[in-house]
Amino acid sequence: MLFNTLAFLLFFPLVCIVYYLINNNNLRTWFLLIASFWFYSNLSPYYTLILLGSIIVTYFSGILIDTSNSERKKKLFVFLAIIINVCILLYFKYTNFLVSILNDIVCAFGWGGTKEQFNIILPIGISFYIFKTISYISDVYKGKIVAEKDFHLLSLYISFFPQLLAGPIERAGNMLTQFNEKVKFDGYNITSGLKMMLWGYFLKLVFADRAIIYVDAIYSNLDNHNGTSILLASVLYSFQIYCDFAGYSLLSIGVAKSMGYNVMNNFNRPYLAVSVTDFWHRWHISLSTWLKDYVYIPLGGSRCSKIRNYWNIFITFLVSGIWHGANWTYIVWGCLHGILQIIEKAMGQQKCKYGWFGKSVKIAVTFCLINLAWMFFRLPSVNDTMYAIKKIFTSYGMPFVGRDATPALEYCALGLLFLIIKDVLDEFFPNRFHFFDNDSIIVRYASYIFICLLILAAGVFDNSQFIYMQF
Amino acid sequence: MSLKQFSIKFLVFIILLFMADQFAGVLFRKLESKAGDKYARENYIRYIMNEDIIIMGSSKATYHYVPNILSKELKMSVYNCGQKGNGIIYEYGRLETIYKRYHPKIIIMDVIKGYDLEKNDNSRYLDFLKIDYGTNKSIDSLFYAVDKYSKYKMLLNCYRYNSTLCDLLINYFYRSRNRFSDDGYSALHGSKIKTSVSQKTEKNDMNDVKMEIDPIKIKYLKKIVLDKPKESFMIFVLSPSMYEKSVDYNCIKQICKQNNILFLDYSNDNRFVGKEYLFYDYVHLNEFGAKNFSKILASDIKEFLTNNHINITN
Repeated sequence: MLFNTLAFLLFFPLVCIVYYLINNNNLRTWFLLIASFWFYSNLSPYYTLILLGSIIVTYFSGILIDTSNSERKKKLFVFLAIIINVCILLYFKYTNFLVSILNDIVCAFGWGGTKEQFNIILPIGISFYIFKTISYISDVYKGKIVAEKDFHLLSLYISFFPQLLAGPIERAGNMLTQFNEKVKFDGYNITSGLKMMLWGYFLKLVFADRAIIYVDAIYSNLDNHNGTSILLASVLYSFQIYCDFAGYSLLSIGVAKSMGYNVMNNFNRPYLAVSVTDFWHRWHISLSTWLKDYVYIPLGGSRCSKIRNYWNIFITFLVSGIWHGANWTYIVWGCLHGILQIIEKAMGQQKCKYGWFGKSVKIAVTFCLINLAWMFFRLPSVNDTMYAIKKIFTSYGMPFVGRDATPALEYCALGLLFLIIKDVLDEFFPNRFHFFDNDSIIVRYASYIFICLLILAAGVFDNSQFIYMQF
Repeated sequence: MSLKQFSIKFLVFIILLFMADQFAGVLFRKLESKAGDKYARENYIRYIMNEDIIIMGSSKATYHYVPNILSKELKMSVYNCGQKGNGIIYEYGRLETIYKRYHPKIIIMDVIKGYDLEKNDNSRYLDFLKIDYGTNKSIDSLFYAVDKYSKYKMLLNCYRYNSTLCDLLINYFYRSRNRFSDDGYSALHGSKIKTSVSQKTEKNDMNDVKMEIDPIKIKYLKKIVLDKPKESFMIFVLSPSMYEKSVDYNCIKQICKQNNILFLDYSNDNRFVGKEYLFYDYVHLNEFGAKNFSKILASDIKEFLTNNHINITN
């Protein structure tokens, strides 16, 4: 079940009502667990078994790590639990990619080879819940949290439906504490949850699902479009992926908030970042902090030599690239982000020490670099990306317009106008302009109603998937 | 905030939203009634049109049938109601609104596989009919057949006008922008066959015979034939294409045969096939090709009416 379907708009209020009607916290969390599994099994019952398998492994390994006396045994259980979970991820996500690499090597040596691929369907959300299990096992081992003895609470942490399909990758410490406490009904929680959901729907339905029409039209047919159209499509894709994923995250956080749970923020106006390093403090925050805590710091972080520190940054973003997908394009994308951050660090350009003009230039340069990297992320192969980049610099002309492309551009412009106004005001005038949280009830209600009407009048209601669900 | 306070606030919000939506509906209707181009044309078809011959179909209808040529040959007034990107679903709804006012003497239905036979998202053909929802039971049933949730979705005015806001505003403020002549026809000038690379794919699609037939489209195709007023004469036409096609139109031919409807097939007509100077692209005739085709069509209709002693003019 996706957040942008009519089925979810019926499911969510129903779950919320029953949730608040149940007085006993234990029964409530059981109810949420059943609702989460029902939510996930709607996509495929087969996926639910894989999720359940991962939960069982994580639960027992957590208990074994916690109760083991010897460090050697603890390490063994951590190793086994992480290996099993990573193997599940590897099998579903990377088998065909690894086979194709092996095949290329075999072919290079002239030993034959085959182009056949395994028919493996990637379970939705697997990358997200596997990362949750890894962080839980690691935190139990490090003693940051105590292993959860209640199977249903750990299951709820891993399968909590608002976060199940595409994060945020919340830490066990934060969620398990909240699941253990009874949430009292508070209208403010629901109101602020609904406000987040409203803006999330705006981002997804009004901008992201409109931009995809233009981006797909150009990127699926590079030969027939000039560099101007490709450049425009690349900029639209940068905003499409932001609106799609930030929209999903806001919906996820909003749904959890409506039930009284606080989930970490996942986006903080990433395209107003002054450097690529700053971008990663604002984009997919739950993943970047996860990578920092479980990859970068264990590698040595910044408390080592400069060269070693650069290497750690590079490896962390290589892992990020690999996590995103089984394709060389994601690896190049990850490496590019790693290299750009190393350059920034070497040049001391991670933060902005300049005035407003310098800051504007840095924001613009950072956006261009991020935009370039997104081209690798979106296009099917590295060769296609190089071809598209070459075309941007060599083939000029009027941007592509057509039957579906023209309205797509019109609505993208409309959506972008509101998005930029909101992000710029929130970034540079944080205490001056509020619409959803304005002191005046008239401004507040007028803003809610305006955005609701805009979604109805300009949204795309085709139940399209969220981009990050494919990871 | 207590449950009671929250419930009251939420209820107030829903009422205000509903009121704002009603107000937005009034604004949208105002914009639509004053906007130019396709909206003005659609309003004319819906409320004013009283021509003897009407042409229904997709963009092929819009570009292929020249009303003044048909009018001169057949001695009757003609209006071209072809609607770009639409097919049998839209045509059924539009004909139902037209029949409420008057019964045209001749209805020419231009058919094309993608919009009239093939299974695809039918909800996109409802856009121009959303305004008519609630005014005609046949149109309402069409909405339910295409989307079972439409009963609830159509309660919201803003949803009814979904994705029309920008277009309406542009056509409201630039009312002079009109791509259609007074008789509904729109001409394509010249030919871009040799210059456009993207047309290669169109050319390849032409002979794609693999097609899943849509039962909803067939249902409404039959309904169009059955609901035809007794005094109206209906003709189904396959208009010319640049290349020979092997698309199976047997189910339409059969429906026509069973109901004594004239079916004219020009899809593989040698007078058009392969003649680039008659086409704007691989699918659409240019102005010159359209004039030629209209003359041939008018003469064939005239001949059929004379041979079969059918008197429509009176």
